[in-house]
Amino acid sequence: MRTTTLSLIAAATFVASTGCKWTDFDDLETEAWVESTEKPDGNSNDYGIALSRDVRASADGGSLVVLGAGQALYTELSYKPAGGASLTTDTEVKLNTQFGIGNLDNQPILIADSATDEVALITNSGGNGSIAILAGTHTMMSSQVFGPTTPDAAVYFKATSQATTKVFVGSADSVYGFAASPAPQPKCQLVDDAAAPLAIRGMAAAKITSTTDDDLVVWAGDGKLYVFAGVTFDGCATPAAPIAPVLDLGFAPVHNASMQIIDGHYLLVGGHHDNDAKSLVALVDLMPATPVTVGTPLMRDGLKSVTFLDVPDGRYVVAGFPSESIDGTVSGEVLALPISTATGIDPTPKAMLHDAQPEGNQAFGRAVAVVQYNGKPTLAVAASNEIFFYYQSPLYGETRRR
Amino acid sequence: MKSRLYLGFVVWITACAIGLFTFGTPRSFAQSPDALKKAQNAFDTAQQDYLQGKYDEAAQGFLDAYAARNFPQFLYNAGAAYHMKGKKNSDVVAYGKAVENYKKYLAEDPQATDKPKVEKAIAVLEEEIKRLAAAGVGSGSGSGSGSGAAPPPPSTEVQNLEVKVRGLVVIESEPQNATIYLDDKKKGAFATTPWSGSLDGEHKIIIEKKGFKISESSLSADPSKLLVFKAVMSEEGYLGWVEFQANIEKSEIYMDDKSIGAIGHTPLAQNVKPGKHTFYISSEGYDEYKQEIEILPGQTYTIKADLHGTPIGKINVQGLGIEDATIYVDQQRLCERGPCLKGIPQGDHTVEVTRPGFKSYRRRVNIQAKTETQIKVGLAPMPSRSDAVIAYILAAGFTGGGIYLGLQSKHLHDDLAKEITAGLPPPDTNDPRLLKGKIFSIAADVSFGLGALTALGALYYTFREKGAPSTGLIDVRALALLPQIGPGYAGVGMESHF
Repeated sequence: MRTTTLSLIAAATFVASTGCKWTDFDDLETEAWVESTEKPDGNSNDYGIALSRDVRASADGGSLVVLGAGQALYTELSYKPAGGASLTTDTEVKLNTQFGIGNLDNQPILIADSATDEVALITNSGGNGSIAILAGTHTMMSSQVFGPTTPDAAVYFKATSQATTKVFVGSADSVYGFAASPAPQPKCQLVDDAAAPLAIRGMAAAKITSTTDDDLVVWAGDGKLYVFAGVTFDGCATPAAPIAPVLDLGFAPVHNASMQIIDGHYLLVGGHHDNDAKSLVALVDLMPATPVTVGTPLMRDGLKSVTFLDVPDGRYVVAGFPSESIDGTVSGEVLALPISTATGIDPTPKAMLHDAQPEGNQAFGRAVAVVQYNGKPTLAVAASNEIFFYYQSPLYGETRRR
Repeated sequence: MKSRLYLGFVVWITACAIGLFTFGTPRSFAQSPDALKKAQNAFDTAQQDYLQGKYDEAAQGFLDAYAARNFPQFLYNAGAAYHMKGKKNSDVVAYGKAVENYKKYLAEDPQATDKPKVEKAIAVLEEEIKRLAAAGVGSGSGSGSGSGAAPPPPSTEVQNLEVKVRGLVVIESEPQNATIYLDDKKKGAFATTPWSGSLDGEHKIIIEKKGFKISESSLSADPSKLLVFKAVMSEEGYLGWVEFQANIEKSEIYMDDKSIGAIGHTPLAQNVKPGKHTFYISSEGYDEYKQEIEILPGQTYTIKADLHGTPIGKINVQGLGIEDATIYVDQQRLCERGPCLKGIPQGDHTVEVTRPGFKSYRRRVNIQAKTETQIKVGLAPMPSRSDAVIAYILAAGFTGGGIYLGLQSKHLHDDLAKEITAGLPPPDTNDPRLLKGKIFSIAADVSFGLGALTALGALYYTFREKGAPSTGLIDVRALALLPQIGPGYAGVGMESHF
């Protein structure tokens, strides 16, 4: 019996000393510099349909706004300074419970105010015959635009009559907002350069005619960019006409096209079709009398999301292609394309990001955002029910963790 | 129940046999081969004359043979020829010549084994001469065909004397002074060359001399002929010469491997190949003497064993199937196959009986002097070890599985570490390979653990005692050597009482 016991101890010691250490994989997980956060709660079954930065600046860690669908959720993911993400539960908002909004588009309009830490979701109010504007910082306050029910575009806009930026919502051929002064002016119809009503697909605010107030740049359903003077929206009594001449991009995107101002007067536009996979990304200089594209627009099938990343190592257009095939698996990828205000967009990507273990229909890159993390811009990518947060990437080549 | 050994009778038979076979003693024969040829021709002619009744010619032929080669037997035969002539015609002169040659024979060979018979013949013939002289009988004439008045018949004593010429066997070697063995070296040395004498029947002649190759030949002796056997021995320069002696006569001598049997009995001297050899000298009832010697070519060695007696008891191992079993005592093989009846020194001994496919029987027994310890062994069949085999297979399977899983885990770990370092694409914190690798790692450890436990189980199954053990019944009987006397025999017998 004693011999048997000693033999068992010897065998256990042998196994312990020569066996496999599973804790090595915990160490590897700690060493990984891409934080992957799977759906952090069970309240939505389609988590990560839209991303936005939360606050504009964060010296310690960072936070990311993530929308979920079915049921509709507003959540914030908090990233710790040394890595690791968790759901900020006290800021989670169940949109159906709180606002009666049960359904969201597959790419809902989620915008961030460049002047404040506010973030806004613009969507159908859910059976009330109106558009809901849910805006706030770490919370959501609801406003409604009655009349239209489907938003096509939205932008934070500094109107002449307003001291701060307000949300402008574009629906069909009109712009809605609270810029009217003295009386509210909830609707302003836009017409094109031929005085015909246009179809709004995207909106951006840029200070072109004024150094203090915004003008409105509209990407219309005819494939053209129109610039409307900001003063137009201070009590719009008649249909507003654009400032001539216009720039024809030759590509008519579906609604909620991406339009992002760079350095005040460059405009990064990104849009795609619904009926086919065609898309366009272009850099436009708005300052000349006639706006022009810088460089050659990028036209690559499958684009669904675009954002701009400005890091010390360079500037990049970060474009998500969620239907891209990786190693034979339709899992999606994100391209980081160098961009320059002098030469436009370089079609050769600096980085091609995707899941190291691609999964079918993962929809990697269906939403992208740049988040301030530890005081530095950091890339976040949404996939189906999963958020990837790049503490380090070939774009900035350093770890963002302390 | 009794058993008897007629030791005395056997000794007597052996002595008689030796006496019947031999009548000769060695002599010097430093003469040429031509002389031997001449002697042989004269002997053959004399034999024919003797058979034809030409006794004078026959006697002269034997004397001529003696002149050529001075074998004493020739003088005896000359005497026998004159003896027959004298007996045929009561010839006093012939009787006198017979006596004269008989005496010469004894003078030449004073150690002759037939000396008493020859001396008796001389005495009888001298009395017959006196008797005939007193009766006025002279010598016969011619060559044995008498004439004139019929001579008186020989006396009763003369009539009873056996008269017969003898054949002769001469064994020589070149060089001389070699040891002659008859039939088997184990019988011991027979004589040394040169030797002459009488031999009956067919024999194997072994001639051995230090430094020369051993000579072995067959010889068929004819009692009416002179048979000369000469062995020309070639030198054996590379052998060593070993002489074995022991204080116990006819002790068995073993060299190197005792299992091949004894090479002879003491005293013995023979050539041995150079090299290191171990010699054992033993005799039943005595401790074994062992000596290692480095034999060098051309060297002479003497091994003198002083054997000390040891009280002996007998062990008798038997039982069902014992004929397929091997019996060991103190880890030394005692009998290749049973049943096994052997004497071993008294004291404690470990007896082991093994048989393929059966469990070994092992028992420590105390052997007492003058007793027979009988062990009746019942060997139990070896049980199947299929449980151990299955356990070994499972252990191998678990270990193999553990190795496979461990390698998979290591492969995943290495891939992940490489990708984390290099990126493009970098694995994330939820990469499924992290969990998969961890599971593989844990599974590998579990598999190793199960493999180790199963292997221990297999070892246990291998060595555990399974099934009934082999058994043995021990019975001890007293033995004694007792004098035995009965109708027609007398000697020493051994009895066992139980």
